[in-house]
Amino acid sequence: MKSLKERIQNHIYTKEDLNLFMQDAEKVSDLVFKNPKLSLGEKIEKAKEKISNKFYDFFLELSQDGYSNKEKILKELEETKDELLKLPVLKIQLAFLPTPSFIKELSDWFKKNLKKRVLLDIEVNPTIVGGLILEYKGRYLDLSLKKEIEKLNIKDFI
Amino acid sequence: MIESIIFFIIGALILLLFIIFFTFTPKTQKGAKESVITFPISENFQKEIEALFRAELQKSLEGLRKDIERAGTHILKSYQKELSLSVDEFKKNQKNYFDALKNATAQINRVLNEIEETTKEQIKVLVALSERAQEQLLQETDSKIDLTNKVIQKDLGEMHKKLLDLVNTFSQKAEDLLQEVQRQAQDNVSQMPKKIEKSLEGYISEAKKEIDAYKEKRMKQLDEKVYLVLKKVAIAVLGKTIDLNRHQRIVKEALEKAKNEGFFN
Repeated sequence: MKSLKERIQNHIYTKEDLNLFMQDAEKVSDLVFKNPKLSLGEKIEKAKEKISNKFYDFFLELSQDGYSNKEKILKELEETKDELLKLPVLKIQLAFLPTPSFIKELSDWFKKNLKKRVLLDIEVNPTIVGGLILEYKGRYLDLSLKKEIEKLNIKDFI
Repeated sequence: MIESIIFFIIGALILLLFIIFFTFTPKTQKGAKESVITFPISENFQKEIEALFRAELQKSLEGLRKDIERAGTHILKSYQKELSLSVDEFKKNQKNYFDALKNATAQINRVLNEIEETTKEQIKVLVALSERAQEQLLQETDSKIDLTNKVIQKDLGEMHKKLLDLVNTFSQKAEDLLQEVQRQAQDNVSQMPKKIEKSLEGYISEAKKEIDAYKEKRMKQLDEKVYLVLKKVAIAVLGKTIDLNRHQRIVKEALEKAKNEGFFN
């Protein structure tokens, strides 16, 4: 059986994901000891509106996988949160709103090329026209189309 | 003794004569200008001078006579003393002494007479000299006046001539100056169009340069603005024309570039 940390890896790629997960985990932790007559799955079903869509299925799946030990669930949630908070953050400015699949692609690309997981902090900035601007470990790199256009000598095109 | 007194008197008279002569003779300094005007002595003044002259001569003659008498008395006393000292000898030569005395007295009288005569003659001569001096003075004064008049006439003539020359010179110079001014004015007038043309050419050329420089500067500014607008347009157009797939492709290419540049190291 996969651990909570292993399960969650495929769901959290960005800083936004992390924040959402932290909120949802807090809510799920509250549910664990409430209404002892109900199972965790039933509790999550009842709290569907309070939990985000992104992690609802994850927590529902977790309850169905036989996580009957409440203490173990809470412990793994805390450990997962601590580990996720330690991930290095890579800030990216994009000119468009990325789809979840593209975000996953980006995350995979970093995992493959940097040989480690990073937490993406994505900001949508249409003024950069295209491309991206990177900020990582205190460094900055502008690979936007706006910069490329500004570098162009317009005279040559007239 | 008597002879020396006589010579002294004659010398004094001659000295007096010279003093009178030089006093009444008009002074003409050597090298003095001929234009100095002297005037004749008036008749009253002349008479007063003559009276004074005669009075002085009388005084002198009286003094002279007294001196001669004193000298004679002295001589007589000397003789008497000598006679008294050698009475015997006097007695012996009484006749000789009396003769000598007579001779001496006669000689004295003769000398006195001669002196008187000489004095009278000298007075005559002095008077004549004085008259002649006056006449000469008058003549000289007249001649000086004539000369002065001539000099004045001559000076006036020369002055007139100089004035005329000066006026002529000024007239000539004024005329020359006028001609020169006219000539320069004509030259200036004739050269004026050329000068204006040249000046205008320079001004126009300078203005053209300034206009060109301004034009170039403004064109440059305009170009910059145009380029800026074009860039903005390009950015706006590109931002809208790029589709999602192209965006994603560009991002992936950018990531590869960042990796190649060692950004993630």
